[in-house]
Amino acid sequence: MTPEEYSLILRIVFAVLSIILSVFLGSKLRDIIIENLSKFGHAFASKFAEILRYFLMILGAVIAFSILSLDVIILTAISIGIFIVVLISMREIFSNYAGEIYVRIRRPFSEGDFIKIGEFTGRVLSINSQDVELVSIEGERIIIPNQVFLKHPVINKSSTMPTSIELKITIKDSEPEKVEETITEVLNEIRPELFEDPRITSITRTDDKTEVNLLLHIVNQRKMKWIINKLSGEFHKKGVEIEIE
Amino acid sequence: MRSIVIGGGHLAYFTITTLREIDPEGKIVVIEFTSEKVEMVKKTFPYTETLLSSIDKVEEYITSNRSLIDALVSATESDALNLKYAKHSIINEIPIVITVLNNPLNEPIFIKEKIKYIINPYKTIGPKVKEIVNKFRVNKIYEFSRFDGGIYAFKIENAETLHKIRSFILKKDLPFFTVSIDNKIKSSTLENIELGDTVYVACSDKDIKDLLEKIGGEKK
Repeated sequence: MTPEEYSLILRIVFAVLSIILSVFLGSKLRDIIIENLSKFGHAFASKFAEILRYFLMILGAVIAFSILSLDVIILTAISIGIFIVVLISMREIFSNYAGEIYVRIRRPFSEGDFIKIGEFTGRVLSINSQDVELVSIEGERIIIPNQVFLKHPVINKSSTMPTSIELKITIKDSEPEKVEETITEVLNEIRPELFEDPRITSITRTDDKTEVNLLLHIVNQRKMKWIINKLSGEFHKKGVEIEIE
Repeated sequence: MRSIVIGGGHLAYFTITTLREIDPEGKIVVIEFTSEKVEMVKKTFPYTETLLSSIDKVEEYITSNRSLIDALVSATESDALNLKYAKHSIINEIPIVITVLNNPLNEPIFIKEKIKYIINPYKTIGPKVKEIVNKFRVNKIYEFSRFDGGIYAFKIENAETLHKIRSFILKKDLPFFTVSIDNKIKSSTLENIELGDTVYVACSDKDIKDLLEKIGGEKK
């Protein structure tokens, strides 16, 4: 056997070993990924594992070709070129996959939650590999590409935690001794709409006005406008003019 | 807090009582479909605002009051209506939407429709029977509503189970307490767990899954 033939056989053996190793590692890696990522959904874990498995297999094939080929540089350049073209042509799809990874791992919302993203508001029907499907209040189906979630803040409106709101009420031309009593009476009117008892955090009196800071807890944040109107109305009924900040 | 309870039957009764207990100053609006029940609710719960409505007008009411409603409980005697109102409330961004089941077999339908807070009043029957008869290996005593987890009871029947439960608690650093065979609550140290004890562990469903497979217990 000539040295050239010996070298060729050796390269073929190494090339085959490279492919076998990449297939073996790909399968092992797939099992590990499925096991560890299944908490984010089995379909997502399987898909992610498959992508990595194929990536490893392609890598193994490229290495095998590199071993067999006499001109490694040309082969590598072609591989990189193909990779870049694929990457550029499919950048939107890859970006959506990245968005899905973010949504699955960070979990800013889950199916059934009511969210606002950009100018769109709706209930999340499904989280898919390329997009998130919402249904709006009007019943329209809205498809949001996953990459949008990487670029825009998401407001999850399904939170049931009460929100604390601080209000500053300025009362003009008031009798200082009656202010606290009036405020308490007005707050009693809105109490049934609040999560818990409202608190007067401070009362500051100056020459011609009284500033009152209030702390209110509400569950439905859209109620705020109603509460401000109600407070104004109740003070007005008592003949007290106020400004609310 | 403004709460809406749809229905005037026994499910609504317990719901209204609880809402009153947690927020005595809050506003409770009860929507019922029959005038007899409306009168009954008015007499039983004089602090509530009671509305007589037709089945089809409820959704309209929810939509027009959606910026004021904090919590909505659909507790009618029909699961189909409960599902319909819960879905409509979620679409209308009501912050807390709860539905109370009439038939426990309908629970998967509600889950499929992404209803987050489902109260299944029958869910305690299984764990209670197991606890009373005192014959079980694993018993899910309590299920958390806001996340997937609960309080599990494990009966320590053999040394192998004892070892696995100890390792599980230690590894996951879980809160637990123990009840001895003569029904005395013991201090919570791993060394104090003995054969015959029942160990109560609070953990997520994800954590419990592996342990159940290891000890061969039933998954509830």
